[in-house]
Amino acid sequence: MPLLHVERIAKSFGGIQALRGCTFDVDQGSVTGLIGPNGSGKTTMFNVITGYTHPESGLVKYHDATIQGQSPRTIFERGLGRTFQAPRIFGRLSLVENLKVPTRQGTSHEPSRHRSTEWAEEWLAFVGLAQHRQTMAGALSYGQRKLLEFAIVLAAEPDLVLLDEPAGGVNPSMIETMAHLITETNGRGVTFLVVEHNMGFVMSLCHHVVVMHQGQVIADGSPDAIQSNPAVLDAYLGD
Amino acid sequence: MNVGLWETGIVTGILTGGVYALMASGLTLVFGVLEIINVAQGSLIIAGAYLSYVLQRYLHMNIFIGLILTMPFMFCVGYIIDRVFIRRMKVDRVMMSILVTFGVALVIEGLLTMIFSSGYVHLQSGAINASFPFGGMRVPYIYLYCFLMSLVILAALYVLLYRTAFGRALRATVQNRNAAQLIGIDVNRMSSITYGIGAALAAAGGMGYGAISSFNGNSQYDLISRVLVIIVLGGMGNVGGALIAALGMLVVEDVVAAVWSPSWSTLVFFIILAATLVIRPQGLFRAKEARQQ
Amino acid sequence: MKRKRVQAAMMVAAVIVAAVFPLVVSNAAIDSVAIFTLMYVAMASAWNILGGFTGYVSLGHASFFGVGAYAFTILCHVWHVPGGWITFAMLPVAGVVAALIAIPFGWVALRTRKHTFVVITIAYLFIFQLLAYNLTGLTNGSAGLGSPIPSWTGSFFNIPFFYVALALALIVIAVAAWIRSSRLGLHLLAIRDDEDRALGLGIKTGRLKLSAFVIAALFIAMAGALYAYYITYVYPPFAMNPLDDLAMALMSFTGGVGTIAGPIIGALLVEPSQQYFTVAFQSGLNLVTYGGLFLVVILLIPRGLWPTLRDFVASRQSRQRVPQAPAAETSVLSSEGGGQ
Repeated sequence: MPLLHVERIAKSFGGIQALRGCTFDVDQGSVTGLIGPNGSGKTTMFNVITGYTHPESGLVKYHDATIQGQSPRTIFERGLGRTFQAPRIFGRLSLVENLKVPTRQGTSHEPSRHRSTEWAEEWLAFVGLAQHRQTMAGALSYGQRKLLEFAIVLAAEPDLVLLDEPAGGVNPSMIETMAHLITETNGRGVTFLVVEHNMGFVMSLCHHVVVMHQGQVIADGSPDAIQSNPAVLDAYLGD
Repeated sequence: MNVGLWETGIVTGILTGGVYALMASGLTLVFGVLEIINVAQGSLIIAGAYLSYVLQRYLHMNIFIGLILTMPFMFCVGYIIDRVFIRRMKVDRVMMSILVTFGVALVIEGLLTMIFSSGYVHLQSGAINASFPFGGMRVPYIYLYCFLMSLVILAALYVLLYRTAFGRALRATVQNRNAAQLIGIDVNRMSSITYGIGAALAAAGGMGYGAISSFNGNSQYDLISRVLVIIVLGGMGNVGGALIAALGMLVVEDVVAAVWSPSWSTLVFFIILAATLVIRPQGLFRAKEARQQ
Repeated sequence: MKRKRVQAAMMVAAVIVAAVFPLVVSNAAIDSVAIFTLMYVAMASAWNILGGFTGYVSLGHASFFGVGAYAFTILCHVWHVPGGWITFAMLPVAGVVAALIAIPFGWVALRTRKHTFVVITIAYLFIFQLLAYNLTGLTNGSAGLGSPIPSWTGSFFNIPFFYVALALALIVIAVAAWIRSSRLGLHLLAIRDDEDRALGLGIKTGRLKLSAFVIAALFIAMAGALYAYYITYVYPPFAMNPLDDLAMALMSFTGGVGTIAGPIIGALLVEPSQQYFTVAFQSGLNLVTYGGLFLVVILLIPRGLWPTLRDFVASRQSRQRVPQAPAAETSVLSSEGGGQ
């Protein structure tokens, strides 16, 4: 049984069909890549899975429970977190306070340690932002914001995290840091679904890759299989 | 049920609705271009009404002809207000603008009270006393004339917005303030001119308001709350939506006043707002979204 | 922390000064200004729980001031509460009535965001004003209602009101400070910064916003009830005054919106000066002065006095300690809401 199962999801905005019946799985414990040219529907898919957009039809199953149409809050409580392409942090709160924002209140997944300052600082140290703990998050650089957002989501100990371009717009050393953080937390049992344009990043990190093009899944397999798939090449080079 | 009352309500509603459309179009235009809520619009309307009052009382000028003087004058006042106060706001414009323009409104109200005292006044015109029969009641000609004046000015506004190069630049600014700046539109100048146009529309609207009802400096609160309700219903920044909302709301209000009770009609006005927003939080028509800072 | 201790000492000193104030100053006119000022400290601090913490600027909470005033007066009539000390027990009752009324109104308004929310709350004020005029069976229309009159006379009359107003102000400040330091406060501030993101991190944004709306209404209504008792009557234009609405926002912004000290400082500065302008200047000029002063403050120090002053002192200190302090961590970083 896969951790996340997406089946025949369709979504349109106005007259534009953003998603036309996408189906794929994310296996427990994997790092799965979701790639495709710009406008292929990856971010819309993220929004559907995390409850920010409601699909017209189709099914999203997480831990074998149907979650499509639920609010982002409920989905997060179930242990499915995400980051955004342009990191969304709380600019007028300090870093420690930012780390204390996420909550899975009312579920058995929020042990009291999650509310402690030590927990927050541990995560800040993990992503290398400990020295800025009392800084206002609005003063961080773009790359640092990505690290902070990663820590905020991971601090609630979700089972599945959707990362929207973790390596986008940051410098090479930051990309390495990010790759290391993903591998490290994946080793602790967190499953990842990653949207990314940096192919080197995707191919070295992911166990499994899903390719989208024009709102459809056109390929699905191991990184090696994907790289040698002619349909994928066509999609990227333009048919 | 008296059919005559209904008809009268609908007719006076449409006629006065035209004047409210004038006031609301200025407010919604300012929101569209400047991305601010101009709470001072109510006091600018009253200032316009007092200007017409001065011209008519001391220079014995016809109130409609007086607009030739009051509208350009109020345009300048608006232009200056933008230059001195509005342009200084850099951060959190939507929220800060409410406070800043409220401050401006207080100063204008205070000045008007100092000059004219707080007694209620009413514009005079031959058309106010003469009336034509309609549905068992007599409708003063002034309602009709004010409606026609509103139509003429709104038509002029339409031509300005949709048939001139300036209008194109202005609509581009409504679409996207930052992008407009990138393609070389002087957004600051555009803002001052728009605020001036808003004030000029307030001058005309104020004349209509002062001809239909009596007013003092304090009337601004009632006015601004109604006009704000209209532009929210019309979708903020949407001029066409504001026109339809103005006519609709005034018809509803006047019909309720005619067939039920004038004291409850204004309440119905606000209840429609609340009820609408439960169903459609974005207003009846598409609103321009204020961008996040 | 040194700064915390300095702030605590300032707070204690302020409370002591306030506590002995009416004993030292026996001028009835000044005492009355002091009572109104304390009421506004309470109202601005309560308003700040919604407007400052969540960023939802309400210009309609003066409605609940009026609802509190009317609820107090009407319930005193119905239950035959006489004037005296016991009457103060009706303040929380009036507050709860207003809070219950605030729930549906808050629910509707909070379906919208930013500017639309502001406009709806402005409409609320007029809805309640019209109701006060038109529900004559309940409110006696424009003639208004008389509240119970206590038997205190002379210079003593102000004393009970002063201490109750002081107590109310301290309670609201304590509640605001508690909320700010709790997880609830953190979540309210997160809503202010990015509401959709907060929702996606498990925060029950709808419920929290409504709580802040209702808590603000509760305390503002208690101030309204106190007001009705103090001036011994209530009628529509006094109970639902657009200027009161602005006053709460103005005081918070003047002092520093979103901070605990800001609304207190704002109320202490704004209310006495407004009272002074009303007495000292002719009608009209008082509005010009008030509005003009307000414009100067908001345009020159948009973040408010308290955060501006605090950062100024902090940057002075850090410059003295470390002459080559990195510029990156001074001005831009510390903004409102970071502490109290």
